[in-house]
Amino acid sequence: MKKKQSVRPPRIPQWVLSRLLPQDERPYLSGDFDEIYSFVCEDKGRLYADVWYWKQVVVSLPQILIHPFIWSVIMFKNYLKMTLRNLKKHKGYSFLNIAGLSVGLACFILVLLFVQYEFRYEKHHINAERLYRIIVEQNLGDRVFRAESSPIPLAETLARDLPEVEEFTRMYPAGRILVSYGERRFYEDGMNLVDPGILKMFSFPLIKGDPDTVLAQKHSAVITEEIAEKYFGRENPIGKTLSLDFAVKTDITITGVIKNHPLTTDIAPEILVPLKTIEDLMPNSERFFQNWLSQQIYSYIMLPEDHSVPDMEQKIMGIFRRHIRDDDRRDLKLEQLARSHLYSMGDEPGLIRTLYIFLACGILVLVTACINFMNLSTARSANRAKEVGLRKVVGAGRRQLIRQFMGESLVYAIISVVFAVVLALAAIPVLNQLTGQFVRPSDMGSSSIILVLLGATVFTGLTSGSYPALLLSGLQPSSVLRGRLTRGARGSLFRKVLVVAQFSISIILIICTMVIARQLSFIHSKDLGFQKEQIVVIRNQTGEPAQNLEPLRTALKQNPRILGVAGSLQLPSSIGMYNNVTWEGAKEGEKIELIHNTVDYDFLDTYGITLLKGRNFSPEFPSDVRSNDPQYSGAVILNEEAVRRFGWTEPLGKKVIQTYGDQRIIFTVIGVINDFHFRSLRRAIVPMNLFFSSNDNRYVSIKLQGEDIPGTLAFIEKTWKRLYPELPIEHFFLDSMLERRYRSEERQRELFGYLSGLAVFIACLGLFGLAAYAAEKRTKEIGIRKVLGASTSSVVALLSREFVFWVLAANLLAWPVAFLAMDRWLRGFAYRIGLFSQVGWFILAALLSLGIALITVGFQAIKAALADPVRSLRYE
Amino acid sequence: MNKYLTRKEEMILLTVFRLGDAASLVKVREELKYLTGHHWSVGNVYVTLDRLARLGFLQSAVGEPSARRGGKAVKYYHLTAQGKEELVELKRVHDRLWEGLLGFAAKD
Repeated sequence: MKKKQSVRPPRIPQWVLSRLLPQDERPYLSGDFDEIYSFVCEDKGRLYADVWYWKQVVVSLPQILIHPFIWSVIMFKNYLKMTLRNLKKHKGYSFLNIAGLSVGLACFILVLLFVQYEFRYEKHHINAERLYRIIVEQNLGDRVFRAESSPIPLAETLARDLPEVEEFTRMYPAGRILVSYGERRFYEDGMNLVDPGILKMFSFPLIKGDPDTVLAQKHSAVITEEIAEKYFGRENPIGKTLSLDFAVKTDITITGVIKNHPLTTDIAPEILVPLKTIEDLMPNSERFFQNWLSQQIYSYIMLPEDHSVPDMEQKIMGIFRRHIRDDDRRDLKLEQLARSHLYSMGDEPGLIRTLYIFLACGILVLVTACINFMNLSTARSANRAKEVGLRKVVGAGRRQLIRQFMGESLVYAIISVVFAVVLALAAIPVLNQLTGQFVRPSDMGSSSIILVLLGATVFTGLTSGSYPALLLSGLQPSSVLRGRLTRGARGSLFRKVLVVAQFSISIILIICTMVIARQLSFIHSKDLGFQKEQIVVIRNQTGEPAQNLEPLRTALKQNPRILGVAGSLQLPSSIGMYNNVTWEGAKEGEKIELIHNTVDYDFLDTYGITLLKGRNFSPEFPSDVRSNDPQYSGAVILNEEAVRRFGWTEPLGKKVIQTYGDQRIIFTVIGVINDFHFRSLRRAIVPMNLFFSSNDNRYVSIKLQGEDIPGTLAFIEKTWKRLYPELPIEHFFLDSMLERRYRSEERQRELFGYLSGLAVFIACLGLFGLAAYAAEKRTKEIGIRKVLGASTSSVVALLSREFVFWVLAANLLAWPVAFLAMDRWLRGFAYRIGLFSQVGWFILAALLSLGIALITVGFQAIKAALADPVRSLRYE
Repeated sequence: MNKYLTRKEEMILLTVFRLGDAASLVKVREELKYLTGHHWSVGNVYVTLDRLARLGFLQSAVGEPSARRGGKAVKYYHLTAQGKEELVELKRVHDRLWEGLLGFAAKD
């Protein structure tokens, strides 16, 4: 190695420089760098020189790179002028371009808003990363069953035995309780029995009260502002007493008030009462607190910042094992609060997958809009070819032209973004209706959305500008200026495939929308086998009327507009309890699940359920009353399906045997009723029976005559208040409740409706671009045809024929897909419309798509056909 | 000319003038370091030189490549007539502006 030979600068920065320096200055500048490097090297040694060289990359390179941009501003002014001129000159095209991009971007924004909303869940808890819910997994052989609730003593034991557990709380939802303060009585669902640690773990900001002591005493309570306002109005709630009625009656004293919970949370206890309070309410509460077998409570623990989840799970399992039997196969897992909303859904993969699918769809829509933009710009390139030629002649380089066209589409993208934001703002109520979220317009201002939107704008501008930019900048100036435009079939196949795909998607969506709508109207018009109209239901969990309906019935029947009053344990539309039974004539050990409801004498009449054989329950037969006496033998009414299942020809007098462990109760069949739909139409009718009871009236159904309904309702309320002044009344109409049952299908229909509108719009844009391109390419041909005597209509037909073919092809592609998709969807319903009877809708979708396509293409075709042939011939 | 050069541009324009025909970026940078006592980054010098060239005060010429430069050619800058005029104008304006300062200082 000769020492004189100059040393090479370090490779990496040299490579960076050689890549990034402006092209025309590259050799000189990198030479300068190398020269100085070698001097520094001789003076100060290699290491110093290397450091110097690196430093130059950091310090000098940015300056050198930014420098030319300042000079481009002058050129930019010219480009901007051209862009705006073009925009004004071709208003139609510009409108289509901007409308397409705006709609695509607006869609994308809405998807972002939707996803962002779901991601906000539980993020307001400062400790969200450190809080864990303990969940229980049980391996059932073929699948793993996950429960979000865990044994009651678990969390407390862990906090005592493991130093890592900083805090713990259990949450025990109290269910529906009746809460009263003086005259104010309401049912509340949000009461939770908790441990005092909860306020240190979750971010429930305390407005009133001392966080260390509010939950220290039994019978103390922390409530939300909303509850405070509801019961105490403007009074200071602290020290006031609320009476609770749930299985037992007790009082609680308000010690603290927390802020209302945000909407983006799954954990929103409204009344917090110390769990210890149960000691006073339950006769043998020690057993309750030491029960390791049942899982009835939610357990949360807080871990330190630097915890390891697998280690903790192992330690927790170690402690758990000490308290359970050896053959207990339960496994404990930790579920982080921050992840709970998105990743945990029992056995399912969780919401996160849906969100990714939505994001993918949003990006897909955006990309399609970009491709349409390319389509339209390319179709228009002929207009710009002369400009490009001239620019090239006066010295514009290819890079400059690319930059110009990119910049142009960037301007379009920016304009589109403005419209898109406006569109998205306008569509937020629709989004909320579709998703059930509560997105506010201000959510659009979040930094992540703004950042993504900026990125999307640049992406949209650059990708949609790239194709026309590359195509146009590659034109040969000599041939362009001489008027010979060589535009090959390059990319035209791609564009056709794209349009076919777009139309297929539109057709699929149109068919889906129609079929879903048909199925929904089928559901709504289907006879359920019982009367659902003009029935008011009072929900009534506790208190006197549940035990004895007679006073209320007598009082209500005074009103001639009230035709019937019936009490039942469950509504006829939602019966779900079941027993395992066997029956007379069953094979040895043969058992089925028999769904049952408990009703009173008036149930069948009030609901208009048909008695096919035998008799209704009647006070004349005291043995009809169900009792838990082991010697008891009562009466049942079966539905037809049960009779069929049992294989009886003469069901009356036959026996059904219910088994509770080793206890057997025998029932005699006294009647058979029609198969009414006691569950949603998604599920088939299965064997069902009715028992009699007059003291299980959780629901009171009142049949109205149909005249003066508001007056009758007022009468019902008044009567209720008179008889049961201490019980609030909660009532609803049965049919409106039944309609809500299919809300998710309604949402699907709306979603598909909007999506198909959108898809049709985008497909039309694509087709429009294609048609415009085709018409322009054949300008001369059309001119010659016209000169030779072709009629306008024949020219229109000539131009449209091809597109009709493409749209028909799209239909052929779309039908089987739509058929399979809808067939699968309909399988979710036990009672459904036949898909083959819906062929008319498929054909209608085809005609619709064809019509839309023809209007789109026809516009271009007529324009081309009406053009003056002299001009067409002079063209080019 | 209603737009004046910045002080940095002025200094570099003068340095190129002082160096005569040998004004490569490396030489300009060295001279500046010698005259001002500060380090000047390559980027800083290049950007200013390029701006002066675009304004028409400097013209560049490509020289011979050398081994020390990794076999790459050198770019020399020299003043145009417009550049020389600008310097003369600058000097005139400066002299007027500075007039009297020393006398003022002496009186103090």
